Amino acid sequence: MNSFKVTINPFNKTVEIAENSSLYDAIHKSGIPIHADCGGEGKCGKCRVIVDKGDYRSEKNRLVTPEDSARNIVLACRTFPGSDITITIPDKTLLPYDYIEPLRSCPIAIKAETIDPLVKRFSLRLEEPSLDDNISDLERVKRGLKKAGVSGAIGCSLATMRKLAPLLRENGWMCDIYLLSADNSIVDAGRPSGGSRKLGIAIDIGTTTVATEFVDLESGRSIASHSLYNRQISCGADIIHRIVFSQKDDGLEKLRSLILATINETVKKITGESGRPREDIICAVLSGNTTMEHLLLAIDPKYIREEPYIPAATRFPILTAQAVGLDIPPHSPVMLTPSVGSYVGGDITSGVTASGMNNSDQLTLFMDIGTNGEIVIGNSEWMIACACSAGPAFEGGGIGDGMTATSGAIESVKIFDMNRPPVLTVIGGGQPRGICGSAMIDLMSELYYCGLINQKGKFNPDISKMIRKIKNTLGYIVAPKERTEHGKDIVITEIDIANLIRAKGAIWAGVSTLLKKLEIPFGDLQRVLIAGGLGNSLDIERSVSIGLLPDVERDKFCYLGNASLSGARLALLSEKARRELDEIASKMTYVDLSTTPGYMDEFVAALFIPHTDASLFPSMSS
Amino acid sequence: MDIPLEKHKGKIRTVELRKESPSGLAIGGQDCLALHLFEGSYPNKPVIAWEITDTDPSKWLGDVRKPYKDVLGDPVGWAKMVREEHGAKIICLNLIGTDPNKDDKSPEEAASLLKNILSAIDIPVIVKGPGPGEKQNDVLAACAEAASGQSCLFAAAVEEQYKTLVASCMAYGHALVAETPIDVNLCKQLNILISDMNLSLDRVVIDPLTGGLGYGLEYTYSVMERIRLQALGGDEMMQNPFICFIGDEVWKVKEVKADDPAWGDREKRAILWEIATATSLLYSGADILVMRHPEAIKAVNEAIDDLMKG
Repeated sequence: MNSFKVTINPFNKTVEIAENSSLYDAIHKSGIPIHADCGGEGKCGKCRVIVDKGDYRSEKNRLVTPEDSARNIVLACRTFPGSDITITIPDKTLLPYDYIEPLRSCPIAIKAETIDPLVKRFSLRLEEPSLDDNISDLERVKRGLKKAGVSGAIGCSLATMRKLAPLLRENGWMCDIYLLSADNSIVDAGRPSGGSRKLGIAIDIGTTTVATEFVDLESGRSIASHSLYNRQISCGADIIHRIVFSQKDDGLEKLRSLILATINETVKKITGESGRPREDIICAVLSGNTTMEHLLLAIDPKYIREEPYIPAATRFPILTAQAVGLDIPPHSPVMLTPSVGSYVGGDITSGVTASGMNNSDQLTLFMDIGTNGEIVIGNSEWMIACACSAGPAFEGGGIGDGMTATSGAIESVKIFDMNRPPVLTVIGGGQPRGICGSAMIDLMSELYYCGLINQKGKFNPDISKMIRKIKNTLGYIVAPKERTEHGKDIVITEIDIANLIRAKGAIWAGVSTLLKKLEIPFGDLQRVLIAGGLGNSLDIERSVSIGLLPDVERDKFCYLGNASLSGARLALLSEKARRELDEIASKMTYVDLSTTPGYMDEFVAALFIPHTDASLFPSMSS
Repeated sequence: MDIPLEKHKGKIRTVELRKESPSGLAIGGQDCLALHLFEGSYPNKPVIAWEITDTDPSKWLGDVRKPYKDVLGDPVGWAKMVREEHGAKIICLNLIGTDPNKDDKSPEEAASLLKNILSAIDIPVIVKGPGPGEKQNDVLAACAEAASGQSCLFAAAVEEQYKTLVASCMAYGHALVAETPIDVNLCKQLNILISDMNLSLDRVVIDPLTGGLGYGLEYTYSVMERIRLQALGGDEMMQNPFICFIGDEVWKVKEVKADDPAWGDREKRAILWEIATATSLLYSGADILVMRHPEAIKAVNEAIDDLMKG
């Protein structure tokens, strides 16, 4: 069979692909991350590339206009080279993957005296062996550990046994022993550190965003954190598309390698920036939705998508970094937070642990606003959860100028004069590059309450100079090109707003269907906790005003930020938290909305600002 | 024995059409479910609007062209015929000829035709545009102006395109049809958007959209019942009469077109199909039924008279 060389610019990277493979396959092979919400099915129109040179055959597609074709713009997934070929990936198609920013995880203070990390360091000073005291090196270490207060049987990894004898003799019978708390097994031994501390890493694997945080296991302090777009986005924007992709040849392995590449990239960036070597890492806790955890471990997620929606596993033993494929010392234990079911994953048990709702008598509503919206209602006695597919809009996906909440993102917007650009704040303080979730909420609220859009999110073009025709739709200029980092206008279009309304509608419908099922009126809620990577802060008033959050007393609300990451951090540091994760996963009941009548009605009713039933938002009518 | 009766908080608005004329009509006004005369007051009978077209409806089936063969292409004559020979109480002028993909007649032509019809007959007129698009706005705006003060009913405002029609109806004193695709919430949302423009809702008639019998009719049926229940429950944004455009839906289905002897006489079958569709929608609350075949209209009119005897 013939093969063709595909040269991909602006990276000047060349890959070879077999005849009948698409440009999408070539880009995948190159490892360059691109947008492809539908996972290469020719349905989303995101994987546009320009053919510079070479023969090709392109399948007809309604997302490619004659003007596009005239300029050799094609969909990579529908285009097949007929010779060696050179293509250019435009900026819009590329997945931005070098955004680095400390993330705000929720402010949970752990008292130093209660810290009981997943892997604990013991600095031992052992007695030198003699003819009278002739037990083995390992038994000697165990004796030392027992003296230091460790009770019960103690295990040891083979790797540690192999290095133990020289280590002890070279260091005058002093050493640091690292003990995994879960089963009292020795995972590593090292030279006496003299106080240098080991690190744990907490990782939140989101469908859209991956966030990693380095945590000092002894002080509990966060060293640094980074977040990147999940590179699996090039195989589909949501979990359903990812599962479909996983069923293709090598699909599962491909998805696994992409998520590992994303995580390892974050780790590399943090080690580079913080100056802490990779070898300082001793353990990791990962938290992700059920599908993400399956894909990370290359466990086939096929049946998550098929009725009756059964995952292969919801709890995972503690694994090693080597087995998982994390680029940290190979013997490091890796814990995955347990999930409840197919659509309520470890990110939720983790978020709930971080929120503390499982220890509270108060009737609490916990909402995780992500690509998959999850909703938990309950208190220390009981918890019921459901999930709804909100789409990646609030994380910047599917929004023309949307981006994740990192430096350069507009995070809040206020319109003072309808005919002038709005007043903005930008994460990091520089010039803006895009809009993150919190600012999208501000924008919807401001545009609506200034009368620039109607309740359906359609522009009123005659009343503001900031509303312009943009391609086939209307858009509002959020930041004019003179004031942006890339010299292009940052706009929000009618299509963007429609996506946001659908996202908020899906989340609202989840909350309202679940509450109706439980016969709990909104007024009975005592606390409303909001999690998600929307930004550094969330304007509660405006979130209520667009109908994303229920209209209850404002002092009941608390925005937690990335609670899944916070929960993972807690699991690194606290035995109590690790126990609670397990309890929450056992206790939570899952309700499947897809079989709940009324969900669709609730959804359509919520496709309105703030809602078709104005009586649900009494404070908005005044 | 006392029969327990359902008493409702809400009441359907009364929409008045061509009120200046002695043959004007009021639609709606009931405070109970469809035809539940025993539960409340039902001041206005459901009515059937005779559908006529501005240009020869070449796509209409022979069976439904036949009764009008002398007036096809002569809309004024057609209007007079259904009024004078059949006693029509209201007609629906379907401006299919203004469709840019058909005859592309100008808004002025449509407006002058409407004027002529209004002077030829004294009953209310429903004016149906060629469907969403630029042309619809121009045609309906010109017609609304030409019929100023004659309180016609204009069809239809949709979510993507309602502002121009609302403005025209406000300016020239007409009512309009608010059309949404078979959904309780979308129906309410469009009514809210329209009332936000300050058009009084007693000038709005709801088209919930429907299919012919066998083509999703039962879906419309239950959506209409739900809209009505919500309206009678007190939701002011849904208390409007219903209009159902039946002719177009019925006369295109396979069962009406097919010449299969095993299915019996085709013409009779087609008429029955229109009757069955119309009667079902009557039971779910339709206040105006837009229909085509004289025999079907006659039969459904008799049914209405019977049902309204109480």
